Amino acid sequence: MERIQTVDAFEILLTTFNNKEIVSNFYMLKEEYSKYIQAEDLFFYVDGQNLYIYLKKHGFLKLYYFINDLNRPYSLGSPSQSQVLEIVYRGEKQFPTSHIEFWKSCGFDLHLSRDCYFLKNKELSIVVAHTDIRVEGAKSENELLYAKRLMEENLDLYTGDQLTMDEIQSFANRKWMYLAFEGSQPCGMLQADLKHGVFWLGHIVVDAKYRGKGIAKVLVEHYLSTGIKINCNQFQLWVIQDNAPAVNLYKKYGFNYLNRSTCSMLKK
Amino acid sequence: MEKILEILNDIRPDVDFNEEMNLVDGGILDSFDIVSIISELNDAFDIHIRVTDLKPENFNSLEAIGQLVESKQNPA
Repeated sequence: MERIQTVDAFEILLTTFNNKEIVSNFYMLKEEYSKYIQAEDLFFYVDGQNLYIYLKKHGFLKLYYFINDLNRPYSLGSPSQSQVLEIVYRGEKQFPTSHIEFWKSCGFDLHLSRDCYFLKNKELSIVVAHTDIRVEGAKSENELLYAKRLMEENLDLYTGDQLTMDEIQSFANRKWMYLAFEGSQPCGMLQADLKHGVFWLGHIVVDAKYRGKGIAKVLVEHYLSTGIKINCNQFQLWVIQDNAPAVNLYKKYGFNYLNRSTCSMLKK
Repeated sequence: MEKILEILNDIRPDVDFNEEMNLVDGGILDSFDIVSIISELNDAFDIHIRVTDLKPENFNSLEAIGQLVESKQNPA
């Protein structure tokens, strides 16, 4: 595994290995890979006609691939860190079977799948039910630390779920970080983000001790109400495919599958 | 162009591709979308759009995407 030194050198690699009948999960734009090369976080490994790209993340490597020869098993000696790869696909009819079979044969396990859901409704109105749960913007350091702890304890470590304290602070500064409270006790968090006219539900976690009390519903209604208040009528989110309670909750408000999914695989 | 529009609408039904002129630079399409679009265009037009064509200017508008497809069908 060697570090990629320059953008030019990387683009020569891409040009060499990106043939027409390629099996690949690479989806970075130049702006993204240039940033990673500058930060010295991007590495590569060539094996015959196959090219593997590694992005150094906190505690693991994210793997991208250009496989021209599916009969040549991935043979990089075991790096000391876990490796995770993510495959984007459009709906079940384009399920990436060939990718998954290849990686399973190389010792990777299916990790999790996510679907993207979208809601566009200019007429959307939310009637917030009376409840003992209230939602407020997270402000104090303790509240932000609480949100961080909930994410660390409940969300995936490998596929972009975790936020740094700086990111949490930044969302709180923009008033997109909310906590749910029962009495004075925090019991859940939701982070939203407004990007290019779409109000994203980024992260939502209900504290394990408080589940089954409708707190997720209260948080989601607060998120939708906030979107309506800022005159945004487009909402979007990713949800773990087999998290039926969450999927059903979103569908109840009119969210539809946006024909976009990801499947991640992991080798520890 | 109709066939391209059909592909784009199928991938992102929420976007008005006839109006938007800043699809990538404006953050409307992300890299996931673009990979899906490339894959569909390659299959539909039997062309080969390469990773190195993943430049915002090639995907910022329906017209730019149409020009990219045309350039791949009729390489100079």
